[in-house]
Amino acid sequence: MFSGRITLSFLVLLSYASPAAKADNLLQSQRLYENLNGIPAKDETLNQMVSHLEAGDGISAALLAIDDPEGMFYDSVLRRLANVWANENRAARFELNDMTATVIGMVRDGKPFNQLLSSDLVYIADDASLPEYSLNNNDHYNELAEKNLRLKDILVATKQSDLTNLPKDAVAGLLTTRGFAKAYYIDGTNRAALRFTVFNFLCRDMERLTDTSRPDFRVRQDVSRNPGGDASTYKTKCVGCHAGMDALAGAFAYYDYNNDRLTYFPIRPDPKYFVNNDNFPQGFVTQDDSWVNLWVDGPNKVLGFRGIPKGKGVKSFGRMITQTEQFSKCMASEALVAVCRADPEDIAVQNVRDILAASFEQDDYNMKNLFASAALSCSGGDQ
Amino acid sequence: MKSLLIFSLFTFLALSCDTRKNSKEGPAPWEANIKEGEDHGSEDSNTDNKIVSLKLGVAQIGVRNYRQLMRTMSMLTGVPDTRRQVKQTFELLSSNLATHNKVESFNAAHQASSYKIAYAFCIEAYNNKDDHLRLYGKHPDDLQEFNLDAPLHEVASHLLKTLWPSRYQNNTDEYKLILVSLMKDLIVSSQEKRPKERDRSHIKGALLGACTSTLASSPVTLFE
Repeated sequence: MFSGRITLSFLVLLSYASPAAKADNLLQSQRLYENLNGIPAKDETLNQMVSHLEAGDGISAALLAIDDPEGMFYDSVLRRLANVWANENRAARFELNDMTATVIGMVRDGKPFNQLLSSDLVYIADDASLPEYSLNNNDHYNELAEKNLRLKDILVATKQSDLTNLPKDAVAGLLTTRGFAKAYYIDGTNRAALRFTVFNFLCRDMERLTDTSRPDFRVRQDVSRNPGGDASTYKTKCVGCHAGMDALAGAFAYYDYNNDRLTYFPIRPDPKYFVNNDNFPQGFVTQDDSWVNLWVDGPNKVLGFRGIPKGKGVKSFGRMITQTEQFSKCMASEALVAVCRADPEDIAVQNVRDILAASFEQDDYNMKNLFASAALSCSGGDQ
Repeated sequence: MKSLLIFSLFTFLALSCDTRKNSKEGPAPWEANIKEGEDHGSEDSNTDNKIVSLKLGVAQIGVRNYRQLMRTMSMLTGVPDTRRQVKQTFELLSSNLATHNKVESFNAAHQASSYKIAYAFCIEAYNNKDDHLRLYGKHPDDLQEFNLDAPLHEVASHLLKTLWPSRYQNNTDEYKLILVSLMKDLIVSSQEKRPKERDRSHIKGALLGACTSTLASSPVTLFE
């Protein structure tokens, strides 16, 4: 991790070795702080940040701003991002829950973010006065939010498998939190879980992943092959999403959200996988929680998939997602949007994003450092 | 109200001008950061003669979201956001405030709600002896003494010094004049509408108007 930080700092310094005039360190500190927290800094904090900038250590100045006890990075900037990930409407105002708390905790602790969708981890509040964590309700987090306690100070990491009694192999970071289940396993066919996982963590919605050249052997029975009496519609439209999506959504076959809680039944796929199975009885019948990544070839190859393109269960699926090059780029893009208000479609922003993404991987996927570097890139000055 | 809006617009424009000025040492926001053919004289200079900079210049102006706005106003006024009127106003209006920092999302509802929340902070400070002194400074209670250039300048200076973040403290003379003019207008208008009111009431209106305008102005509600 330390070497990663050095690499990051080196990259930042290297890129700033331009003849551009030096900006005032105080002004840069003010910008840096406000970009990261959205509130003005106190003078003492600014003075410390200026000292770091004078010493040529912009990353430390940014990290100071992120971890400032008076700051709002975790409670406002990061929480907003986590909220958007935690609901289908992508609403910025959303309840605090185990999914959003885990995002915040992992960033705060510098946990490798490539474990976000696979680790046996969940963050709860270290406060005995709160109701205990439960898969049956959100009371623990609701009361935490009501108390308006600082998330930065109160969250502690714990093993998800200990709290939930889910088998260790069935636990997969955010993907097996109650918050994720409530948002994406509820009702439907569990395709939402796939769609929003790639939307949130690969920054790609299904429209951009459409590829009609993929084989359709995993497209389920509920997808009509002759929609509206026109078979060509299936071949030219439906299959573009369903071929790749259904092949991956098998990973969620044992999960559901019923009676306000996440359910896991590893004996056979959830009944939702067989809804409308008479639409096309010859279609794929889900037998277990296996998944196949058909996007490793074709136009979606650009997402930079690495490792084995098939597996069983959400843990290996989550790992496959976070191993992609696109995951790193997506996280860099999210950081630039969050702290620089950058337009991710802008070429200049994409250039910076790619550099940050590469550094992110070298830095053991430290998301906090990524936010720091992103903020430095848009706060003026030489560092 | 009209004066408040004019004031806000003026300060918004002024801030926009400042932003351009401040970014003169770097590229303007989002201007090209690929410098083709630029030789930095280093062995690390690339082979394809193209350097990609990690620098995006200075980020666009941002809008403080609802949480950030509350915290900022509380920090600047010294009035806790748990005070009754502040809390009630926030609960009523927070859904009208920005959720995103992008300036494109800023709209009239945000601005109007910012004014109402700013007013809540200002009146809470007005009603508390210590906060009053810190925010408005010492001022005459007699209207004739108050409605003179010197004390009005004093109040304007005090408000700007207290409520605007430090980076905007240079060259506030223009804004002082606008605040003084605003307070005079508010007093005239208050006297016309309520001629039988006591001096204190007219002064209160002027102080609250100046405070609300300053606290809901762009150096507080926006950032860069």
